[in-house]
Amino acid sequence: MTEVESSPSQGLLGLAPRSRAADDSGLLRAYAAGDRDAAEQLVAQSYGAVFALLRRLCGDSDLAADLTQESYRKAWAALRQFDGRSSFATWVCRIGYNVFLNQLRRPRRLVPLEERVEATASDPSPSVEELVGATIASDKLRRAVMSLDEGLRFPVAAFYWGDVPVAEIARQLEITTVAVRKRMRKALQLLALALEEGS
Amino acid sequence: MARINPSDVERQLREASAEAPPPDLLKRIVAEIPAAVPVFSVPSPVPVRRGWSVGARRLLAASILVTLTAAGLTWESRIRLAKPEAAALASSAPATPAVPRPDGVPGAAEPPAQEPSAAPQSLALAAPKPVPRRDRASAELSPLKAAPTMTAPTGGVVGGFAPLPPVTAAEDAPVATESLQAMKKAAPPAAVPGGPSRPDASASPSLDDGADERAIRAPMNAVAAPIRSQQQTDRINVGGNERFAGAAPLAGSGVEMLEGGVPQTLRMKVEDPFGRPLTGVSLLVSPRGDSAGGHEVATDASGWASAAPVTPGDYALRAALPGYLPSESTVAVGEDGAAVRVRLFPQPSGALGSAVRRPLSPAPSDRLAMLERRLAEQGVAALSELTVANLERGLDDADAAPLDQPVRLRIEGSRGSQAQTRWVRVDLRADSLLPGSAVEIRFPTASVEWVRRLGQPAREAVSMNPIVLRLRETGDSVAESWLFEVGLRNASSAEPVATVLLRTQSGQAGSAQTLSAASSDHLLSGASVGLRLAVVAADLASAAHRPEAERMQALQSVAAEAQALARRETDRRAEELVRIAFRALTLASRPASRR
Repeated sequence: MTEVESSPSQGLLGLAPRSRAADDSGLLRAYAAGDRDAAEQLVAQSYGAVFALLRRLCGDSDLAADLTQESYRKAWAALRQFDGRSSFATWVCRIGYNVFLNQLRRPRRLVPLEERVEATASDPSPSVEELVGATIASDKLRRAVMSLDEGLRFPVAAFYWGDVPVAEIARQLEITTVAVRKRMRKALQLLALALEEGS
Repeated sequence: MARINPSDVERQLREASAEAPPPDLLKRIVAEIPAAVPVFSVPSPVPVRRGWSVGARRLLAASILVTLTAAGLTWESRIRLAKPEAAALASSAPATPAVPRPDGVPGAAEPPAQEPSAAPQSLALAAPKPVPRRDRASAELSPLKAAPTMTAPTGGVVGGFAPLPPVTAAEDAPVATESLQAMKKAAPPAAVPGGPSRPDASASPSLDDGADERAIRAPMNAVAAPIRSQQQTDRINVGGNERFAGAAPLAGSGVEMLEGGVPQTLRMKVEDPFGRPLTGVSLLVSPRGDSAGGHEVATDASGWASAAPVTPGDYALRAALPGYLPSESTVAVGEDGAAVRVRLFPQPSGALGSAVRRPLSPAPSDRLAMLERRLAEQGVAALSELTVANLERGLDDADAAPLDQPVRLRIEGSRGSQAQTRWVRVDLRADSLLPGSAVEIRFPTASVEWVRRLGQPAREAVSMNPIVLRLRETGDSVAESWLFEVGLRNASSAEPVATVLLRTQSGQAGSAQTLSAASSDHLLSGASVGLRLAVVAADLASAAHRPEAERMQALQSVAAEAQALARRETDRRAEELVRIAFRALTLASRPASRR
């Protein structure tokens, strides 16, 4: 399997990973030269993936949009630390992932996952979400993903929800592509077990 | 229970509902692209790491195993070979003539009988590096002349501790003997004061077993323990604020016998490491084994103190002075009395600092919320529309008015719009008991844009590195504290903010410590902002007791200053915006009777 084939889909970002990385480099060079349009193009190419990842992670479109905005704010501030290990989109996805985790840790900004589970279990009356089967399934899956270890969670979320290719995940985590695939296989098995128990 | 396969999970993950981004999201993000282009080098793609083949992994593991085994064997054999050599070198006894071995090998020498005991003794004396006597004499004449033996290497960053002062092995011998004697006397069940027993090198205990070696090491450990304890307790990490202690410890204590004893009197002179008399040192002289009785005296201006009457025998002498390591030793008093010199060494000095990432940094789109409803009850409308940006634009100095009571506010980041802090406050405190000590602080230009010392209006250029801060002498201590505000080039928390080094007058330096504003959460904290606002509100409330015209004038002045600062200085904008916000609310909530 080639690296390009490792990507779940290529429609979201519109470009294949290799050409996208090369394109990123050119756009960054143009931005460094003062071309603001280049930065806008970088955003246009990548914000969909970042939003998709965050939307599936947090389950709230509004919050995902805000976190996406915050991710780019952090990205601009830390642009000098971008080392080209991965594409710009992947890099911002990783930032967005960290922003999401920070958001989880902050009190009152987002109900922690565990509390939310407990609240759902202790409340005998069905909530609106529980009335919608698809939402329930989606929420269960999201909770199962969030219960994974950090080392397993990011590859799964980035690959399936952020549309990040395996090779780029490997570069981000500084591990091999084989290790990424191993982690994802293990994560899928754990998720299957968790969903079985949940059902 | 339904059976779910990993492939089912994979399908669910792929099918997880994906929504299109909100239509205005792209516009929002693009609007925040910084106008100023940051300096960065356009990276080149990094190749993907491929996994190692199984064969390569096995080969690597085998190589590591062989290397480690070989290294272990080599190390063990070197230790075995080195032991007799080290013992022979460490022995202070004259060279033993070669004795032919029974096997007739020429030149081979039997190790002397005392050799096993001599090696640990030399270890106990080896802490201060011996220097020639002439250097010792010059050091006593002037501390500055001792610089060749105490000066730290140039370059600023010095690791480890430098012993101070340098003493010769010959002069140190009685000190060690005293320690040994103390340990020797402590070891038996009951140490009974007996006849006069002058310290003598021959009184060293037999060192033919491990217990005696431990006994010799014990005084060293007792001296080293407070240093380690000090270093451990000074390093604190609380809430993401990094604290540190850069220590330049000067440790040790000792007693040496002097001539000129007076019958039934124990005369004691207490000095610091440079030979200067120490005044007010508390000295406790008690018969060995009898901690209840004894004399407690204090040294005079010349550093001398006398305990009388004392009968011949062994006495425990304890000396203590705040800021110095306590000394405890055994002194033998004869028929003619005794005179001793006690040296006290300062406690470890150090610099304590912390870098606190300021939590206050509201963004223009952040909203202001009241923690109290009082303003709303007074009919103030449209508070929900108050944003920091609106306040910044809309405040008019002429309309300023005071509040009777403080109002607590909270700045709420509009979702996802929390600002990052780009400046930190460095709180640095240092103390030392050696006059002339100074703190050297460097701000790395790579991560620090500007530095402002509190109390000085102008910023100091980072190019002034290093900034040398002299410790102020106040009474019997030397201490100082400084407060810096440091502007960072970016909001990264991992980058160093300052490097701090404590130097003594003679140039001796502790290990340099790096301070960074490591904080896991750079985002705006509503609670901390509220707290700060409460403080500002208290300031305003205190002005309520002044005449209205005076308050108006003061508040207008504050508002004008705040606005000017907000326009001119982006880094101080955060704090001043809070002032502006508060000012605007005082304006909005002004009672009708005062309008």
